[in-house]
Amino acid sequence: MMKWMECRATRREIDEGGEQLSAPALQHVASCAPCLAFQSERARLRELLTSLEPVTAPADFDFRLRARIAAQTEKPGLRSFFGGFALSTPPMAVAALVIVALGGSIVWIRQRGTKQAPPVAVNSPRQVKEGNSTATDKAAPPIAQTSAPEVTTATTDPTFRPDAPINVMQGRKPQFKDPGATRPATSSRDFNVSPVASIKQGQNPDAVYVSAPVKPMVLSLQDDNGATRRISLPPVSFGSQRLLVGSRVVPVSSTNDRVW
Amino acid sequence: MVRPVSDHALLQGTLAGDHDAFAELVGRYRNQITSYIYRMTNDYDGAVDLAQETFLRVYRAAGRYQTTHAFSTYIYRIATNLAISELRKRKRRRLVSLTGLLTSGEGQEPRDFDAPDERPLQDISLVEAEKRAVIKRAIATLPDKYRAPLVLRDVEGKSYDEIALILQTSEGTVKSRINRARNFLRDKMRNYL
Repeated sequence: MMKWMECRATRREIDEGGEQLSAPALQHVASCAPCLAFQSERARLRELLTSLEPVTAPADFDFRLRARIAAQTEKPGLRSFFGGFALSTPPMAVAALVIVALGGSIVWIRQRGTKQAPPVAVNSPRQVKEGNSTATDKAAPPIAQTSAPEVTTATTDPTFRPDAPINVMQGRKPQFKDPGATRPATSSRDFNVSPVASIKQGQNPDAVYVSAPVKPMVLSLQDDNGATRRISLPPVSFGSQRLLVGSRVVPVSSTNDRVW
Repeated sequence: MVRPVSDHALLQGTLAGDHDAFAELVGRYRNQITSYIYRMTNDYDGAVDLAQETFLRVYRAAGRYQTTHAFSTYIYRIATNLAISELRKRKRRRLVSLTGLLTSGEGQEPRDFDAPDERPLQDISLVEAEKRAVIKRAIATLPDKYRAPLVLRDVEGKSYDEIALILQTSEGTVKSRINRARNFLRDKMRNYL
């Protein structure tokens, strides 16, 4: 029993201390064959382990390491901002939902705005000049397509009515507003939804109503002194605001204050 | 006589943005760390990659380094964690493991299937090459918790207390694990002892 305890203590010392053994351990090893074998076995094993060829880092180790460090420090802001956040699934799902909701609300708002002011008639989404303003009609799809060569645009004037007679007032110009000056050219109003007020023949004694000529027409006017003026009227299309604003439709005045 | 700059001073310089200080640190430890991880993983390319990852972590965490322990302990701890993590990944990737087949008893560590080579010895050079291959294979088949202390002690030459600090365990546990690892290797390499 005593010898077994000595063997155990000696072997522990051999295992931990290597070749530097205490005097009692050396004395025991000299007298105990199994412990001597154990010592030589451990020494041989240690020798085998230390006989492994040295391993060195490759020559480009520093270069590759610098490249990796540079690659990681290129986007410090992004990394620090997202950190572990970007890789986790729930925040990614929340972010995706927010983006989808945002996009959906934008589309809904746009569609809502389009429903409020649909165009009356549009030939094509090409650019249409109105007065000094230029607008491109892209957002609103055309409701009615016409094959006429003239450009037909939607009007922005709520008082404008295509089939209404021209209001010819003494000393006054036609009551057509410049749409480009008041609101964006792309906005339009559907008069089928909200009818406009119109002045009919006979309601205003100072006004003379003339139907819009489809063909060139000559209008004769006679003043109180019997003098006669003849005015040539070109065809007028109420489908084009440009034609109206472009002074092709002129007021017919009984005061002869304009040279024809 | 110029006194060499300590690892702590070099790390402080790294923290202050001195790239030369970090290069000096890398130069001091790159071979040791690469060799240690190679002995742990038995894969040179993977060891180089993990050694670079070790230095990357040192660089990134330079501000969190505490000078209560030696820098070598600190960097070896990082390398050990990376190596053990890599070994665990490999185990998960293994389709069929022979570990469970060779469990000799309840509570004992499972052992991989690696039968001792009983063939007769040949030329000396071939014997030496074969011997080294056997040692590497034997180390590679050690259980993770035995492999790290054995390599640190018998290959890297670390002291028991330093190994205990690196592995964050007690010195007694380190000694016990090293003893078991040596017994394991003795059985594996009986023909060469």
